[in-house]
Amino acid sequence: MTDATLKSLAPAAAAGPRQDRAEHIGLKETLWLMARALAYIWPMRGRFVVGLVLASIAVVASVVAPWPLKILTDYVVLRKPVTPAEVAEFPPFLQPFMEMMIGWSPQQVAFATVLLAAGFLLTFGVFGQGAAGRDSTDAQLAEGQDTATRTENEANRGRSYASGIWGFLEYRWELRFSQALNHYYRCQLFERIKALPMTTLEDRRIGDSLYRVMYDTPMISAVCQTLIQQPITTVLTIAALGYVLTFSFGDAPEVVWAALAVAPAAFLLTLPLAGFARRRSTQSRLAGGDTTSAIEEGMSNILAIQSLGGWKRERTRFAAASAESFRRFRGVVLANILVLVASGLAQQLLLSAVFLVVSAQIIAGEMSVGDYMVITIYFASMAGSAILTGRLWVDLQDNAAGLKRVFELMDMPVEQDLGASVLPPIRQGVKMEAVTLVYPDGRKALDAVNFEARVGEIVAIVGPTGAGKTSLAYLIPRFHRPTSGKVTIDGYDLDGVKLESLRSQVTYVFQETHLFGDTIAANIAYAKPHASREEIERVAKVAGAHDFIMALPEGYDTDLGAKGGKLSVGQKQRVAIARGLLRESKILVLDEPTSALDPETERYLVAALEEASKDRAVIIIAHRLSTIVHADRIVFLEDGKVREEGSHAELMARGGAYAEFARLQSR
Amino acid sequence: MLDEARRGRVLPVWGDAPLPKDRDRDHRADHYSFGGVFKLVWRAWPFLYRYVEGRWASRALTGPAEAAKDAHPSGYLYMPFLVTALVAWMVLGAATGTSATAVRWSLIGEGLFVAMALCAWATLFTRNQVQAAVAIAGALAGFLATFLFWVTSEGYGPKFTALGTWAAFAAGWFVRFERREGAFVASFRVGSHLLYYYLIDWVRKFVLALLTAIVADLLYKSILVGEPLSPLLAGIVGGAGMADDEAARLTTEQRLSLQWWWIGLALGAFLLERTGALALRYYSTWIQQMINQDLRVALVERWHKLSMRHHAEQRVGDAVYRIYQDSAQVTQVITRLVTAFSMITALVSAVFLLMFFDPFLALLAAGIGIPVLAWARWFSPRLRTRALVARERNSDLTSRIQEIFSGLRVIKAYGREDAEQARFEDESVVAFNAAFKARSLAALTMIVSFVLTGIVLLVGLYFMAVWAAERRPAAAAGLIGLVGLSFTVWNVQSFRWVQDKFFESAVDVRTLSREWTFAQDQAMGLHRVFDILDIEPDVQDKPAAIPMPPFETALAFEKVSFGYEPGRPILSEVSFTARPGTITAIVGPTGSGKSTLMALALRLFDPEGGRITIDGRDIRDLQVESLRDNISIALQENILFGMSIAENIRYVVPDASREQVEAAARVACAHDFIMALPEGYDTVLGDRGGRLSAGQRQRLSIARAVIKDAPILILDEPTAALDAATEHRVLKNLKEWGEGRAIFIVTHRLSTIRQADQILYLSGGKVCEAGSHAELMQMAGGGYRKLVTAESEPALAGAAE
Repeated sequence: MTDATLKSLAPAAAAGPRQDRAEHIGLKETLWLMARALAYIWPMRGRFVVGLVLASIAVVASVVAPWPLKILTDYVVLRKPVTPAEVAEFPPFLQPFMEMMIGWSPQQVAFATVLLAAGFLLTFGVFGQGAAGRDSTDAQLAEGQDTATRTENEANRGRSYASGIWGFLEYRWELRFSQALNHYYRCQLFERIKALPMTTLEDRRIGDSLYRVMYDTPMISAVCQTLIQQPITTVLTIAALGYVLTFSFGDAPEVVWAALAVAPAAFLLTLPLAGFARRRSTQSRLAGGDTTSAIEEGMSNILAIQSLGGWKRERTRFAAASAESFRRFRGVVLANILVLVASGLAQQLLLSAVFLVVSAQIIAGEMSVGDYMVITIYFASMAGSAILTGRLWVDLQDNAAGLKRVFELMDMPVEQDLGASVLPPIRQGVKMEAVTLVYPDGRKALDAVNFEARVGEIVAIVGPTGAGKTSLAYLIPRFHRPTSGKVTIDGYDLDGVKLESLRSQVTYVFQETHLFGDTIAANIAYAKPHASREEIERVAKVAGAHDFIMALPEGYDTDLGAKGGKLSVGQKQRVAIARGLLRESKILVLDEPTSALDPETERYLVAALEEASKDRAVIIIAHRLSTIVHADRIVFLEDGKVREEGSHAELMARGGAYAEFARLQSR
Repeated sequence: MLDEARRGRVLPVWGDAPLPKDRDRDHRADHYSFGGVFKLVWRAWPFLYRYVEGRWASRALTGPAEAAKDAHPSGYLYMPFLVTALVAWMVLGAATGTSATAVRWSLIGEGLFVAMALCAWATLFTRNQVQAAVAIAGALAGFLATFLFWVTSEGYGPKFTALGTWAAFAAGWFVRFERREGAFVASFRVGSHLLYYYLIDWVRKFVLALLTAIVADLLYKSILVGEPLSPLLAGIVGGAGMADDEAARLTTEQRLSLQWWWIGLALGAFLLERTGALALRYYSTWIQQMINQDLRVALVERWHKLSMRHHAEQRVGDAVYRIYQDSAQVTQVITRLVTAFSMITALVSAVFLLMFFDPFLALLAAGIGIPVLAWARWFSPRLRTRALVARERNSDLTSRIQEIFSGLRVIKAYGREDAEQARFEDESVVAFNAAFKARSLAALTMIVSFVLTGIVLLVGLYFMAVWAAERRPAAAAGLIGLVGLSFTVWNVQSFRWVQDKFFESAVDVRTLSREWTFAQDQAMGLHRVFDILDIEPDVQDKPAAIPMPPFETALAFEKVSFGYEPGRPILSEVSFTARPGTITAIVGPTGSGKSTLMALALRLFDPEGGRITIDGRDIRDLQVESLRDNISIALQENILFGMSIAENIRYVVPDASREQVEAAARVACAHDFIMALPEGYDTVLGDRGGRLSAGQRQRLSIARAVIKDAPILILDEPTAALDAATEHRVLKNLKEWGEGRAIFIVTHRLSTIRQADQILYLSGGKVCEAGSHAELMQMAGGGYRKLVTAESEPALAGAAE
């Protein structure tokens, strides 16, 4: 395989399957998404309001505090005496301080003012204008250049307009608020994904679900924190700046109005970009989901990849997916750039208007050049705040795309727990009447199947691959619901009982074993966490697992690591069987439990099952004759229909499909 | 259902954010120092340098572009000669015909050009990074010189000569000529993106400064004050009259008309600046993404090369976290370094300028860093520890999510949803708490740095204000005049000016401390990346490894011993031989080492004792990749990928045609059921091949092994999930297809075993019995005989009834 062919293949590999192609999110839907997101504030409303108050005080304080430099310039450097007339020109909250200094020497004034500044510095982290004199607080750590890597800062969002003690407290408050919000949202999504029906889950890619839980959910904090906070802080900033402006340079209402106008101007100029930004973000997230899937599949299946010699292929697949997600993120960057140009233009246009008015006054001799400089500085700081509000809508489009992906998954139909009644302890068994099952893609898995398994018997389901054996067995714990027909246990329709009460009494051992990254004992005791070691060992012995477990250096306490990688497939299967046996439920379904077992272990297990079946219904799906012959009843399934039913002897005597099946195996 | 309201309360706003003891770290265990952090950055340097160095592209070459390193210095030998010639010509000819002041400037320009020429020669005798530094210095000197010539000389001759000289120097980096196979070949260097970026950014800032000066001049001098325009501006505006020296002041009408010019120019400057800056931002995003992509791919590649021993411990979610969040930290390394460098330069120059006013003040400015340094000594190890813990706990959370999702079937079947939800929520709380601690400490470090520098500033401010009030003379009044400033006494102007410089030094120190704060987190991210990249794969090509020659005579195990953990042997002294055209069945109890045997043949691990040979050659002398290319395997666990069925079958042979895919599917008896699917071969499988039954997946997995067309085929329990009829057909097909190949089948099934030419009965890691079915059945009390009886007893019983 040459590099060239790998490259030509890359786009196809990157395209991969995507379960949800990007559909455009309309304006109405965006508004609805925002509203839904905002509703998450409600459970945390108390915290939210406190945060708002903390932020408001920080905003006002950081705007109003920088007086010390003016006092130093005027009364120390220029040696103006502090007089009652001068004091009256200061804002009320500073007047007591100024009054105190009436008649002081410049040195004394300097000392007191520096102390005042130090006070401001400690409490609000501000004593002057510019970067040196004021600080805001955040801890936006370094991030990468695609959507996924930018979410850590989003999930842990927090900022304060102040620094110092107040800034630290407010920062912690805001940080905790967004974390709490995210935690809540993330947990809810996680819960919903878990509740999806088995058919949906089998189609879902783990990487995509992972992406949504980890990287799409943090989009909620920006919506909740800025959508309400930003307009409030903008108005407060402009009001506070206007207030300071009035005291320092008399009324300049034009400037305040012009600064306020920046918000709607920026909004209007950036509005046409909203759809563009939303689409870019959606695509970026979609590509990110693919990249995550590529990593996840590649790492989960490492054994297969190494054995098949597929590492080059996997590298190409990952590289293509990752490059694609980077490319898509550049779309987001482009949208962002256009927004910055458009909103900057709004500010520049209004600055021009301010300039026209003010410079005309200067030319007419009504204002000084110094006034112009001061006014433009104030305009810039007010407009800077207003522009954020004007851009709010377009900035939130990125979040809308993420929210959509979260809500989309939350809104998927979950396993319907229609049941109102609790299934009482099972006494008789399971019965299916004319059950038909059609998959969402139209394939018919089961066709008018009648089936029965009573407590006290072993029923084997036999048939060619793809005959519908597993589909049939899936009906019992209600992993599937029949398209038509009825599944009942002790006469109770399964649709009418609570899922929890059903599944706690039906144990299903899957064909493909999955063990958790925990100790062997914990894996066996999975459904019964408080089982004693004796119980665990007993079932392990039945499943033929005890001996090899004891041969491990740490025995039952062996940690299986990430993927149970230390055990062979057959050993894992035995642990899984032990796990199923420990539960001692009335109905036990074993899907090909013996396929990877050696005959000796198999024989032992079958004997144990025969023993166990005395007080429960055991349903076994199997191909191995040695397992099947012990069943009380054999159901031979073909093409979704029950072809033959009866004991081994009966069916052999009939000489039908089953007899042929048995003959082939013992040949 | 879990209590929803509880979720809102588990992260309290006040108080501690507790972490479980065993999942926390102690900052005293942190072993990184100031230098350690830089070492990590240095470790990342090769990933950045790729985009300084670029690569060579030439029209004549058709092969892959070679790394720029390989360029022989003779390729740009022409450059120093060319540059020297041009500089000589400039120096001898350019100084004529300029005014007296311009001569001084052009002399400086010439000096710079001479420096550039020296740099040109120096590039011949230096290598790698030093060479790059020399080249950059030369390019900067050339840029300044060209600028000076452009401004001072009259007529376009010298201007363009200067530009040409600079370009000639640059050509040494970008173009080389070489003799190849008798012809001169020109190659061009492309892809030095980091270099281009900072060059463009620098030029942009330069142009911007000029533009701002012009626009500000128009505003403050002419519109607001009424002074005449400079000739340059008058030329732009088109009002030659406004530049007259005699017209002392502009008229009101002129000033009003200039208003519109200002608006236009300011808007133009804004658009130029914004679009320029943002286009550069797009460019830098792209560069950073490429750097990150390289690191990500390196990580993935390393993981794929690490043996299964490593992967038993590696959590999948952790890989996701390292690839995304940790590797992303590499993108900001370069910006961080550049910022730190420019901050240090700015700090030094600010302190230098302050010296003229007052040595005490300069000392104070220089000393601002001291309390911050002391503070950094305290917080750095703590911050690193907190950052590392935050990364680890978030990685744990990612892993937990992945593990729960992949085990969801079992979770549902056992009704453990609530328990898993609780585990997930606990993990999420721990991750948030860890992040809270890290970020809260980071915020605190920055606040304390600000307060510390703020206090120093206020002290300085107090003295400055008092000195200005006293009209105290500045310390080095004479020197100040030399720099071109007019304040020799402390007054309002000097108070403002000095205050600016003084404050600037504080901002520099704070920016440095801020960068350092972030660098700690970044270093921990890189640490986690290089942790993986530093693991040497235990299965590696020997330096003298050769590609595997065509398989001819035999695959042999010679006294092979192996164990995953010391003291727990899985295989001991296993020996056997398999020849092409035969089927070897490997039989034995579960856990007897059957699959391990096959893994050793693929070199997923290397044996501890003994050797495995192919045609008499130890497989460790073969290239791993070519070995694996020659062995095809169908695994016991039928792993399929989330792609279409056709893509899955041609997984390792991506260029296989549809016919080949279908042929392989027919061998595996998969064609019929595939065609019965609504979308046939284009049916896209869900994760792990969901939607298909186990038997169907197994057949796809066999087809995938068949299509590889390798001389050695391993089938690990290939028929476990197949019914007897299908099994017979598959085996029959495989036997036909397998003519001339060595086939290994690991199995329990008697019907399969019987097809074999040779049976190996494995027990307790040893080959206990070997031979044909008939031979082994002869051994009374043999393990194989017992197995056969156990397996066929019931069937025989059934048949008898």
